[in-house]
Amino acid sequence: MFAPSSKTEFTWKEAGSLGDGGTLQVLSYRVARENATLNLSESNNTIGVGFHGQVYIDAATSGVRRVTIEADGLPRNFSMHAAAMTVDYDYVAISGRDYLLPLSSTVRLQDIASRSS
Amino acid sequence: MGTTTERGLDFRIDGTESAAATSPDSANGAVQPQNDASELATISGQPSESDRHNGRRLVIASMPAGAVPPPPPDELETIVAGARKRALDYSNSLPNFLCIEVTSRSADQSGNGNWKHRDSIAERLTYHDRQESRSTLEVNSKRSSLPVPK
Repeated sequence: MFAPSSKTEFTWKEAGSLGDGGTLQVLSYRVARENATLNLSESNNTIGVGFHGQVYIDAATSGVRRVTIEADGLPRNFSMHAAAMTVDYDYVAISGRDYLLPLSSTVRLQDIASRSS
Repeated sequence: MGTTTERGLDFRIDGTESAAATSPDSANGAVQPQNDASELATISGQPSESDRHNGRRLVIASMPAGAVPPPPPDELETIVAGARKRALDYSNSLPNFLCIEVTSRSADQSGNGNWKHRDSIAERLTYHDRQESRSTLEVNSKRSSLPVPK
């Protein structure tokens, strides 16, 4: 989403706080399909989709601490009805130095049969 | 009704680090390429007091509305520019390392929130020379080297 080629639209949503007291700037974003690099695959088919979500930016370090991603405009003939992902990042010490790394993530997929439910 | 599936991933780095762990050059932040797998930061074994990662969760809370005013447009641009720079430099800033990625998969056949656990998979994730690779260690707590089941 940060690649200039994504032409991402960012808007401020709200402020948040980290457990250690740090301040987060929560931005909503959207990447149009024609600029997107998100691919979804089923057995014999891969499609590129637009997506939107929120990005939680540590105001002190500019580090991204959480990203949410929701796929937009999945075609009706695709097996997935909805796809979403959340990734949390935190600092991990490697060789005595702290690095911001993925801590956990959740991927949620909804199949096509749910479309009419 | 259709099926909703959920996949949870935890990246676990336990214990002490090997003395041969690689680290970026402290002067310029650039990673020194390491071509010898033995020089990976091997991260396994017993967790140390200083780096307990199991079960760690990021805690984020909302602030009351109005507690922090929206930034003016130029400040928003600065926030985005800072995050963009850091994100685009991200992969170049990481050292070589190993960790255990634990995936828990569940399905909700009814769509009513009645989640049933499907399986758990533990994989060794290797980040070496800016490339990620994975190998299966366990499926449902049993040792396995098979590819992750679909």
